[in-house]
Amino acid sequence: MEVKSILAKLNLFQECREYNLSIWQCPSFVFFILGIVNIIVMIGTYFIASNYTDQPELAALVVIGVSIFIFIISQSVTDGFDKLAQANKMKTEFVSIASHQLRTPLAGMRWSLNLLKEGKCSPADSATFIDLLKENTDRMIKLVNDLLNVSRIEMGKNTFIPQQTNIYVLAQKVINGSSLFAQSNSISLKIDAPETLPNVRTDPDKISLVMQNLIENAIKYTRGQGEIITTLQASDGFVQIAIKDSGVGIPKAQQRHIFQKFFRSDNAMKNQTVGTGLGLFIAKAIVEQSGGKIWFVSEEGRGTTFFFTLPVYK
Amino acid sequence: MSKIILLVEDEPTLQKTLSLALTQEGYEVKSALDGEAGLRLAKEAKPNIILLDLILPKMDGFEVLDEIKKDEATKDIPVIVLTNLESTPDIEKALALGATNYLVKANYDLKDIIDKIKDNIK
Repeated sequence: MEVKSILAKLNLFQECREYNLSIWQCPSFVFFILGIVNIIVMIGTYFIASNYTDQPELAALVVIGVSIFIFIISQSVTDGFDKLAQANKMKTEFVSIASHQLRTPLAGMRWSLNLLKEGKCSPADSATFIDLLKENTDRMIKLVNDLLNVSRIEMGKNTFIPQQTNIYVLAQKVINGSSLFAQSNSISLKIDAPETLPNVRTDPDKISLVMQNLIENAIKYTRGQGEIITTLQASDGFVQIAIKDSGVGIPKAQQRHIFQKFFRSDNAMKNQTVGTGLGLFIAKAIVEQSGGKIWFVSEEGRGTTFFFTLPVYK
Repeated sequence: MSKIILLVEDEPTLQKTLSLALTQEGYEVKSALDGEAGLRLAKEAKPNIILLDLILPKMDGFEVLDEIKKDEATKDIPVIVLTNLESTPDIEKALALGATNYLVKANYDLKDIIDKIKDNIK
């Protein structure tokens, strides 16, 4: 393993080819050469010093010291360049994935319009295509908003206006908003909360988005009939919200990636190809911005429960 | 007898619009909403051409394409890959597996796609 990782690091050209850098612009290669030159100079100086001066050790020591120093510096500079290149590569990937995601609703809109413009459809078909146009427009709006949210979160510019919020009312509103989607999937939505709950301190618009993402995921990944229960409870200065489904679950090996941007588990892809892999990334950022935590318990084939906490308003 | 087109597409809007346009054009359309059903229909329905999406539930388009081209009974059916993926490795992989053509959905109107079908259908 050790040797392998060192060899991987020494694979100087492949990395630069990936970043489209020429050899002499490639930091890892340039600094590697610098290191080699240094070693040669060091050895050369040692021989010269030992043959031509009275105190060769001193000269050699100085050179060794300088070489080590340069080597360390060059390493840190290389790391810096690598990180920059990595970030740049991520941005490119982001643009590529985002445009792919936008294309599906765009193709749907384009083709619906083609058919409507032809005027050969029955009135019933025309009505269907107008509905589909609306659906795809909504999907695109959500996608563009999600992408904007991600970009703002990454730049640290996500606006967040904390207010005193009645989380029960908010949860109820989100659940009502998702009830049609749930019904069309034969899923019932329940809410379970004590008589009184303290208000929480959060941005209500943003936290609605989190609840909506979690509940829609729960509906999407529950196959056949099912029940999704949202439980609210107060403890230790926080209100905890749990959303429990009996869906496909998240495979164990992929659980640690679940909050990563654009990540979608294998079984999620197999069951539901529509999805961006942005919802949970956004949810985590918003919950953490509120001063809360988000986590989940999941078993493949049995279901998933997502939990998050929000601080009580004081 | 009208020619049969097998449409393997899971996205409801794209499936509905495309199948209606093809029916209006006089083709008989068989639809599959996932990869497994697509492969089964490719064998059963003996289509004259297959329109295949790549990101599909149960079995992805590459696997379906590979299976179609490996099977003596289906290997001669032209397959047009119809997707929104556009990376060079994806295109190369699909063509290497034996796809006749590779079209990015969002870049074409329905009539352009029908023209491509007319060019390739057997």
